[in-house]
Amino acid sequence: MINSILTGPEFSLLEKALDGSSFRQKLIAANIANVDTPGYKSLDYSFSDQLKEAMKNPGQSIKLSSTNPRHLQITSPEQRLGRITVQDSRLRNDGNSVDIDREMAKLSENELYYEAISRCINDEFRLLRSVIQGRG
Amino acid sequence: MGWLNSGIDICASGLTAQRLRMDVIASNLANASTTCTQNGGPYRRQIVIIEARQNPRDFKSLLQDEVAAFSGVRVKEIRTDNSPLRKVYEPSHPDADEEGYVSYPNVNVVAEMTDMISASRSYEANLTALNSLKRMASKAIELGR
Repeated sequence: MINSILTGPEFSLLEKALDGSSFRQKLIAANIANVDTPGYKSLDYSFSDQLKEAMKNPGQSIKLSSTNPRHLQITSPEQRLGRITVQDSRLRNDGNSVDIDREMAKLSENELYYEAISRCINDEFRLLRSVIQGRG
Repeated sequence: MGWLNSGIDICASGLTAQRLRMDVIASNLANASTTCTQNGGPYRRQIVIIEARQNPRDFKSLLQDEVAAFSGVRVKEIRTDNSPLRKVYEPSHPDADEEGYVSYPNVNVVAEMTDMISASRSYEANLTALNSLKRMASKAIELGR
């Protein structure tokens, strides 16, 4: 019973959002570290579309398309939604495409997103706790 | 703790690279008028070459959809700038040549100062990213409290 509560669709969805957000933060940190590297291309990670898709049919895992049923499927718990995009434009003469202002804005935006999601998870736990204790 | 380590490691690599850049700029500025070094001849300007650090592309990381190019930055080499030296006519200087010219280092102090500001700002940006990752990690620790 308690297991099914803790592995319900809302928890798994929030977990995925948290996971995607922390991965995105890592990419942004890598972009900032490479702000002076000639030829470096800025990376980003978008997962909101896939998150919406996962919200529509919760509990269903995303499958890789394959031409043979015996092909390997990624079934590890670390499986990620979303995909990495490369900004292939040239911002400066040295071929680097990192826009530091955008990266810093994305950094704080993504941090706030992470905090919002973690607050949602905490609220879910608080709901469970008040149900268990039987008082509001 | 892999997720935390790798993120902080990326920021730390940026901090290290920018600090090294700062050290080399400081050395260039300190030696802006050094006409005699241990190797003989005047000091020559040093340049830091940085490159994106590559992840080892093993099967596991490919399977987990890790992109090779996002594990921070590293210093490739410190190169000597071989552009021509600055010649100043000072016949009384001990390092003057037969015609009375002294070769001064090819260090442009104004360019070094702007480079220094750039390195300092990049260092701050990396530090901001590091603090942000740290705050996120402490939020993760607080989950369910």
